[in-house]
Amino acid sequence: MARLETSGTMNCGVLSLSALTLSTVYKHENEVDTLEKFKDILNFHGHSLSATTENMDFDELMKLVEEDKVLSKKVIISAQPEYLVLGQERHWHKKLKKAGFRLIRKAKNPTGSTIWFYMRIPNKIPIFKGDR
Amino acid sequence: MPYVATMGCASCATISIGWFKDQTKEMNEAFKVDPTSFTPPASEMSVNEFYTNVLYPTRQDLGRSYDMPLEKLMQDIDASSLKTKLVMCVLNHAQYHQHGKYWPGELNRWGFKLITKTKNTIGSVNYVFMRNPNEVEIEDGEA
Repeated sequence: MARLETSGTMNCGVLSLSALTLSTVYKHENEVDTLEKFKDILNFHGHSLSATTENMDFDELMKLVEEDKVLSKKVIISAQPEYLVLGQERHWHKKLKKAGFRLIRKAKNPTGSTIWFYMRIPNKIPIFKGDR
Repeated sequence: MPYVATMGCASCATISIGWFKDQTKEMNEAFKVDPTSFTPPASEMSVNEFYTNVLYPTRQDLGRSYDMPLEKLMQDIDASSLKTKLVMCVLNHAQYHQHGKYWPGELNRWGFKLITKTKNTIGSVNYVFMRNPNEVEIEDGEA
């Protein structure tokens, strides 16, 4: 299962893929039931409102994203703390890779668990020396 | 003004910062000179309250702190349990170039690095920054 969420204040530019589990997780208070409603919130006068789609099958969600003119161009991040995917690491790594995500960073969180940070950047452009 | 917010439901692991407005440069500079120049709103969450009420509970609702100067935000983050978390933020083209690249300079000062550039849906460039104080090396075969 998976869901697409607004990503903090970066709603217009970056989205977040969440809840990568093999089972359904709880219903979210900011949940909307269609991608269209989710996009409406993204486009709401440039304000950064919080929203999430409902949980759905990962492959189905990524297919919908790929087919959507707006969502398919957005950066999507997926940060997976290892305790959320314990025993399913290879499963999700393969799925994310197939959907165009790349592992770009790993980090230890304060509890000592490792976070795997993936990004899907469809419109990537080069960083020049003067940008840094 | 900037604030710290959850970054999707990876909220326990990663957080994000926004919101970089042109006029908040002056507030940021004023805070550096005189921290009392900023009065926190009573009705919204501080960085510590954001951690305790939003990030820490396992339910992981979306949420954010109140707006504050970046200088105060980063000071508060470094004085809290958020200090070691991976933090991301995005500057758009205008925010990136304002005042001789003021915001990129401030982010660099707080340990953020530019990790990627991307064109958004309307063709404008977004600059994605990240601060990852507890970085772990990616090993061969993992990427």
